[in-house]
This record gives sequence, structure tokens and C-alpha cells, in this order.
Amino acid sequence: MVLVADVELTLSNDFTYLLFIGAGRTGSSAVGQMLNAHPNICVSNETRHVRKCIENDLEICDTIDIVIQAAINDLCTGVEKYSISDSQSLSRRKKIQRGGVDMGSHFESAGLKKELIQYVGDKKQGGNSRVFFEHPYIFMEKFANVRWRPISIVRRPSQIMLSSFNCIPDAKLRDPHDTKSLKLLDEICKKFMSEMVASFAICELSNNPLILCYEDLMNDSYGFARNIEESLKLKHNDKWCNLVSNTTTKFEDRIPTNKQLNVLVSNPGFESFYQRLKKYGIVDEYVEKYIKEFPR
Amino acid sequence: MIYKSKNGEIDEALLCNEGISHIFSRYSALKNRWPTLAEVQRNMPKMRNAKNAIAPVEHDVNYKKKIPTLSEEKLNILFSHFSPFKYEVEGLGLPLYAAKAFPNSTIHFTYDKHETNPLIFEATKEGKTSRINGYLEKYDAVIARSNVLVKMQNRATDKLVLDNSGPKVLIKHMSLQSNMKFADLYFNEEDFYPLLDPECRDSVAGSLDKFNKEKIILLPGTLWSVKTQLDFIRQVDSKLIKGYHIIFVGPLRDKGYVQKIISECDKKDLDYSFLGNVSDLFLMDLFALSEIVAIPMDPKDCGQPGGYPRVLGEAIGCRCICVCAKTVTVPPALSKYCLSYDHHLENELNNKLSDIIDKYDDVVKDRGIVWDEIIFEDICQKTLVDALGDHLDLKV
Repeated sequence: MVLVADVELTLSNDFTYLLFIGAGRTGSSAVGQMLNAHPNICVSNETRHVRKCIENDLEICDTIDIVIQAAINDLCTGVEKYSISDSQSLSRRKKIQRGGVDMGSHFESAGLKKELIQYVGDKKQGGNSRVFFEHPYIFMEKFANVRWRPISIVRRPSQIMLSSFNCIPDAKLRDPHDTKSLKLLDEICKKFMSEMVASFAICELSNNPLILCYEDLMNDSYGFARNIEESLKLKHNDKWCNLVSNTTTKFEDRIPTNKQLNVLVSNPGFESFYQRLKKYGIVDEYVEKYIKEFPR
Repeated sequence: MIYKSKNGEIDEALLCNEGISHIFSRYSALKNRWPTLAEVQRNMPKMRNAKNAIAPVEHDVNYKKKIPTLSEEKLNILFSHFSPFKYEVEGLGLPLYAAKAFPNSTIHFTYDKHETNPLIFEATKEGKTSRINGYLEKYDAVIARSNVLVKMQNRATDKLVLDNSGPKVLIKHMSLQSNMKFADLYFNEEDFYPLLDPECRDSVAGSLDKFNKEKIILLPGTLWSVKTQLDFIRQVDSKLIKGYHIIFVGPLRDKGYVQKIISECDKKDLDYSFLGNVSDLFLMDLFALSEIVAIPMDPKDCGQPGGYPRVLGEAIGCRCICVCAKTVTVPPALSKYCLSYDHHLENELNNKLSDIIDKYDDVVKDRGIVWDEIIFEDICQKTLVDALGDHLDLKV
């Protein structure tokens, strides 16, 4: 499918780099692809642009064309079928990457066209956060010459935990009663909590972080899109808001067991982490209920 | 020859790492302050102060003189192209100083180095800076440097801001005709002379107290023909500077040129080291350790009839006697710290050097040098008064 590959894109002199930060399994891929379908935004999927710039001493602005090209490829091909680094099978990728599927077709059928590109970014939430805590000074140095804005998709921690848990390839380890699986779950919690704490630090560096709640997308996807438009000061595009609304797949919650919740809330630092998350409007009813039943 | 790589070129890393290791072993005071080679090579201002450009920051600038209020009026002043990474006058120094000297005014400054539109910041009298989204519609005055006015004229939005604004003053044009456009007032080279900035001043203060001056002739600057280090080495009398250690510090831009310097030094049996590109704070410590700083640059090669090099003010701030080629602009206020020579005249360099070699203390005494007589705060105030005094009703 050829969509926009032949269209010449113009990058605004004033473009802003959308720095995706946070944890994985928060719906960031779906949101990234929705943003990539906006006429004024290009968001590639996991080119690891930030890490490559930092590790190879490249400048964000000098290599921005690579991100734009990858974003266009993603729109044409669909991230569920194509990924630069993913070695997993197509069926497995489809299973773990359920949102934002076939965005290119939706983009075309919605009658959308790329216009002046005002925002560019690479969706790699957890990866970007990890780069920050591995190389904080170089990270800041790379973004010092760039107009940037952090964007973070946040989600209830119990759901991040279970979504990550569901991605474990070994079915035996996904058995919630297996002892090894609880140990694995603990590692999962530590990973996403450290990624999110790094993302809080990055948000605090910025005057205006854009925090988006996964639950808002599920509850009111059109309103979610309008919120993005307003936050990014983009003029209202009804076709795009409808595209977001039409391509959002509603998923039921995964219900955590008490054992699983215990692993989550017993993690050192969970309390302060959860309090900070609450400031961003995230309340996890499964955690709340568990804490009420088993006060610490 | 041991510094050559397989392709016959100078191996920069090998040469400079050996140079730094050598001075560490020779000057233990320096080694105590800088424990690792990595720290010397990586502690650059852009990395150290990167947060300044991406986040709101409260700056802890240690001023040595009280900042007088120059105007109580509500003015809007734009400083165009001042680096957010450095505290020097041409960086955060002047906007932060102006925010205190004009306490009721709005002070904006830009960093306009890249192809994309500039980054814009606000400085407040509390010593805070933060990124803002855009310019005001107009400013009462614009203080600019380098080629930024030309850049702004080529952008529709920026041009409108300039057209609507009051006087435009270009305080630093590097004597390049291409930069001398679109301003109402142009400073002369000798009118604007940045001195040791507060961050470097604080960093080197301990070293100035602890270090003894060593017999070092320091040549700071990029190694290429514009800086004419080779001419300096060719002209200098090796017997005259016997016992002195010549240290070249700065990036090795032209490796063929560096090879010629090495050959000349070897031929004259000089004691020399190359350190490459080092942290600005490490450079200040080198200044603190050195008796003499040589600045033989001849900017005519790149179309500039003259020029004031920032290292001159920094070297003086670190109590060095400077030997400068006549092509270097030495402002009258700094002339007693400098000896100028005409590099086209035979033996002029050696005649001047003979006045200071092995006579550091005598020169300081005879010339009536009082260190720190003129400092960063003085040049900030002078620049603001010179730039805005004719247009605004200032209290000085």
C-alpha cells in the first residue's frame, strides 16, 4: 500500500521533539500510531533514536530525517507487521501489539493528508526513560539544542504489571500460581516502576509535560484526541479525532490476584511511586481495594 | 614520530593523553585537583550546564560586587544569541546581570546557533532562567552578538520583532563586515572585553591560592594557521626560554600544522606538551599554574582585521602575564597585563620575552599590577551602560 511515501513533507523550523517517556505496556504504541496519523505529527515506532544519538554522539536535529522516514514507513506498512528490531513472529507481535493496527488504511480512508510537520518523535517509552537514568548528563546535553516536550502515557500499575506478565512467551511462567512467575512478576514491577520514576524526573525538567492517561483513551477516545490537539496547540481536526475514536479497541481489565497485588505493593518505594502517579490522575481501584483489605 | 597512526597522521588521542599524563606527573597540584583524564576531557560547559537549556533553573552566581540598579523602569530587553551553557558575559552572564540591574524589566535572551528557530529564555531578577515559547511583539532595546541580526532578518517572525523594536546594538561582530548589518550601534573590538566568568572564577579560586606559579608558557587555542603558534615557535629563542615548559592546549584542527610545530620544537630541543581539547575549568587551573600565556593569533587569515580573544581576559583573571601578537586587540584597560610584539619584525618577540622570562614577580611589581582590579561585574555594567546609555535614561 502506497500512502504518503511520495508526498514531500515539510518540517517546520519551529518543530518540537516529542520525547516519549514512561513505561512499556501502557498503550503507548497505539497512541504513538494515532499521533503518527495526525497531519502535523510524525512519530516512528521504536527506532531507538534517542539512544542511538546518545551512544553515537549524534545530534537529535541532524538525524531527525531518519525518524520522519521511519514514521512514514510505519504508516505505510503498519507497526503490527513491521518493526526494525523485533525478532518475534508476526502472530506473537499481533498478540502483544493489539492497538493501532493498520493505521495507514484508516489514515487514507479518513481522507487525511500530511501537512506541515510540527511535532516529531520516536515512540519508545521505557527505552527512553532507561537511557535517561543510564546517561543523565548526555541525555540533557542532547536535548539542550532542541525544542522538546515530554509525552508520557500512564496507566494503572496493576494493569501494566499484568499486561507485561501476559507478554512472557513461556506459558508455564504465565501461570499465576507458579512460584517462579511471582519472582518474574517482581522483576516486571521493578522495571516499570524505575522507568516511570525516571519519566517523572524528566517531566519535572519540563515546563509543560503532556501526560495522557490510558484509561481516558478507553473511556472517551474522541475527548482524548481533543485533549491532545489542545495541549499541542494544533487546530481541531475532526477527521483525526474520529480516526482515534474509531481505531481505539476497548479492552477489558485484567483482574489481578491478591498474590500478584502483594508483589506489586510490597515493592520498596511503591507507596511514594503510587502517590506521584495519583498526582497525574491515576487511581488503581485494584490496588486501593487491596490496601484497604490488607493494610500495611 | 611515536604519535603517528597507521595512515601516517598524528594520532590525536595518543599525543594528548600522553601530554595530560605528563603534566599530571610533573605538576602534582594539578593531579590532586583532577584525578582522571576522563574528567579533564569530558567536563565541558555544554554537558555540565545542559539542564540550563532544557529546564527552569535557579542560578547560584557568586557576584563579587554589588549590582547597581541602572533603571527602575519597566523595560523589555532582548539579548540575542547568548549561550545558556556558559556563565561568561556572552552567555548567561550579561542577561542574568541585566535582570538584576533592571529589576522591573523583562529580560529575554536567545540561543540562535542552529538551523532551526532559536531557543528563547527569560531571566529574572531572582537569578532564574526558563525556556519560553516566543518573543514579545517588540523590545525597548536589542543587544546582539555575532551574525544573529542577519539571521533574524532572514526569518519573517524575527524580522517583525526587530522592526518593531527600539535600538539594536551589536556588541561583538568579530570585525567581520558581513556581521555589521541591521544595528543602530556597533561596538569597537576594544569596547567589549569579556573577563573571567563567575563559574570559572569560583572554580579556580582555590587553585590560585594553593598553586605556585610554574615556569610554563601556555599557548591556548585551536591548533591551526590562524593562531600562528608555529610562527611563535620558529621565532622564539630556545636559549632564552630554557627551563620553561611550553604547553599547547586546544583542539588539533590542522594535523599537518601540528606536525610542523612538533618538528620545530624537536629541532630546537624545546620542552613541550600537547593537551588537546580540555574542560574550561581545567584550562583555568592551567592558567593558574602558568606564569606566561602567549597569544600569537593573526585573525587576518580569516578576514578579521583584529580581535579580542576571550582567553586573554581569562588568563588575566588567573594572574598570568600575556604576550600577544600586535594583531590581537588589547583594550587599554588591560594593557598593563600584556606585552605586544610585532611578529613580522625579527627578534621583537624575544626582546619582549626577555623582559618577563624569569622575572614574573618583578614584572607584576614594576607594572603596578593589582590582580582582580577589573572583573566580570565591571565589564557587564560597562557593556550595558555603553549599549543603552544613549537611548535609555540610566542611573549612571
